Amino acid sequence: MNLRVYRFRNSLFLSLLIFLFIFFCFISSAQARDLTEEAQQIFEKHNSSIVQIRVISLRSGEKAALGSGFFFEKDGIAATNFHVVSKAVNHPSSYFVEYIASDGAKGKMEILNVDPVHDLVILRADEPLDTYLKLGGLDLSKGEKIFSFGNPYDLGMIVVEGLYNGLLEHSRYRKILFSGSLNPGMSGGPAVFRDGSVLGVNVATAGNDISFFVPVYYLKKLYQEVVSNNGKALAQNWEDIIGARLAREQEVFVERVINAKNWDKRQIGIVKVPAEISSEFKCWDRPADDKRSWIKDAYLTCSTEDQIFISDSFHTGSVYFQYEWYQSKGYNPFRFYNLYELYASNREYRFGNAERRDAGNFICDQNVVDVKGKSVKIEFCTRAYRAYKGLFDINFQISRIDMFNQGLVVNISLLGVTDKQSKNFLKKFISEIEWEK
Amino acid sequence: MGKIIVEIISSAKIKRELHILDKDSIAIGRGYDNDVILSDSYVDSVHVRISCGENQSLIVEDLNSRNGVSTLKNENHLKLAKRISESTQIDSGDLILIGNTLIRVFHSSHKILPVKPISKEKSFLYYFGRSSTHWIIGLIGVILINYINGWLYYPFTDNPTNQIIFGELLGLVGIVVWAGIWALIGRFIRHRYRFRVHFAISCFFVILLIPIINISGFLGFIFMNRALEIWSFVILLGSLTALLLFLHKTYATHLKFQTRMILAISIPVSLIAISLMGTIAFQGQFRSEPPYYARLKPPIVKPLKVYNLDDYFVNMDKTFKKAKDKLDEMDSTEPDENLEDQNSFFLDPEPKID
Repeated sequence: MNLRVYRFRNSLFLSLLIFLFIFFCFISSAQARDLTEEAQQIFEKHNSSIVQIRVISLRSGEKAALGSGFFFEKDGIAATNFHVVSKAVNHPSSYFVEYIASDGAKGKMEILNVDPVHDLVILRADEPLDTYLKLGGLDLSKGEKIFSFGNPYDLGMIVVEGLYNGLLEHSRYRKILFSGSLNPGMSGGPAVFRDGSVLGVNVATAGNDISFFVPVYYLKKLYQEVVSNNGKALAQNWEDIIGARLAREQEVFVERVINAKNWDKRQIGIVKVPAEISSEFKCWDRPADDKRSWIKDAYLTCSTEDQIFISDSFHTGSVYFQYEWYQSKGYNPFRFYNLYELYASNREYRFGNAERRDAGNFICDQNVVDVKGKSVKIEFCTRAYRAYKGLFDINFQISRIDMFNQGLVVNISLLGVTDKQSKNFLKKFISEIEWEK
Repeated sequence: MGKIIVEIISSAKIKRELHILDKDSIAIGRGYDNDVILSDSYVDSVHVRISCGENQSLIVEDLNSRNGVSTLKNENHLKLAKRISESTQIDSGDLILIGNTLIRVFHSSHKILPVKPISKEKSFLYYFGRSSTHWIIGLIGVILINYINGWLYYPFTDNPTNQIIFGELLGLVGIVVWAGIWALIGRFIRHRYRFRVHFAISCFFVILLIPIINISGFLGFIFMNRALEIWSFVILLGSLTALLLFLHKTYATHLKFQTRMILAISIPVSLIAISLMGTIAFQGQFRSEPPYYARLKPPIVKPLKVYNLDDYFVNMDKTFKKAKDKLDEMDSTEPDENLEDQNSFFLDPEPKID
């Protein structure tokens, strides 16, 4: 649900642009009066520190991506979202980043540090602006008025007024929930408190006035790394840094999940299985299929809601598992197993649209394993990442084959993990399954 | 006075003509004075002389013909024909090639093989071709095996009867069409229309086909080996197809045993070879999802090897390593592929707004 999902056909986009521009001209005067005086003041005061970020193709000189950004330190240090400039990060030889300030000033930008996990990038402009925003803290309470800046649909810089609604509990990292409307093009813009201090960075929207910011402390941490490196870029080629950050992120996640006491469990058939094992996971049931009255089945799927954006085609970091339980209604074992086999092979993977440039092909093996006296068939598939050495996507499917009239399929997928992490996770996961009532 | 027997073999080897000549020496050519007159424009007016030699041998003499005379032993090996320059001794039963005409010459004292008794015991194929019960047994067999198969695999509802009947009818139509084609081929080549036999053969193919599919599935499960399942299926199906083609050819054509055999085997073998080549050719292609292999059999069937959990996790490293190697292999097979963002090729008709 990031802002990047929106795309327009050229003609449609142009006509919409013209329409919106005219509309905007009419509305803006009226709206300016409706806006609180406070928003107006804040906009006027800080407008000069906020810029549009463009990713420009070296081949054609044309823009390939648009977003927003802001200066937060002297010497032209600016921030935006990773997904805004991902093309320039992934292919530094084909793209560069530039900004356009509110007064029309243009300048090239250098990437100093990247963090795809929290969707942040730190940039430095060749010719710094005079003004910049101060980074603040998060010591405010739910319901306080905050403001977000950005350049939606390339229409010009706007300010959005909304309410701070605390930090998300159920996400990989704690995003700020903002009750206001962010739109495509505003990604990377700042969210500011009424004193003008930055409290977060625009990152995503779920529509209907539900939007998200990256809390400012991740930006501070990322900038600290630049400072420790004497203000120089941490790398020219970002593959190693991104790979290390992804591995670290999954490491922390796996550690936390493995060490959590009392895993949340659900009953499915005669088996008790892990469900919302940490706050990131959400589990969903699917109503039993009426057409399958000859087989009784139960279904549970659990997944982390977030994923880490690497490029338009490549997302990683998500973890999900699902369970299917089959109970024969008086069929002979061969017929039941044929049906069981049929449904077990009908998989729905969530490996996204990773392409050849992102990863290799899956390699699978299948074995029968004795788990606590129960025979299970395990099919294990994995593929290696191309740029980020040592990271893998894995799919791990366990099917019980020790019962004549019942079947259980457990399918686990981990994206962007190391071999060691995935083994630790799977070991713990298998040990937590209670195979009998 | 000896006798010379001359057999003229037509180019299609179907029509044969015998001349029995009460002479010690004969002349062959296009002219009317010859003992054997040939209407072959590549033959001289008096082309060759053949005379009796000693011990059943014959002497061939080229009478200064323009295109010469060649001798050979086997009518199928025309390329081995040797051109003679002077009078040459040949054995009775050997062939000579003059112009475009193939001739076999016998000495009158040529020994013939003893008579073969007609076998009282008829072969399986003999009965298969004659008995009317086989196609009925085949038909019943196909209906039964289709029903069992449909009952095991197909029913997606509580009442699968209609679906199974539909499947049965579709299968039978296929068999009738296939058998009809072969019967038609037989009609054209052999002037015999044995639809019933071809129908029975097709039925027995289907009856054996369904167990074969299942057998390889069980093998794959017992040995937990996908390659074994695929290859056992390919080999079994290939042999069955070869047998099917062989039987159809036996009844529809008058090819020799060896030829029928080679043709029957070469078709499945070449199909397998082509698909194997296809697999190899597309090996480096990117696939965004795992190839899924779900073989699950009830606990009556025991897989050969059962790991304990700790060993399993130790073994897992091999798969991780294979995945890394696969990536390197894909790089090496198509290193020139442009791995950059595809959007960069376009002059950005749709700018992306984040």
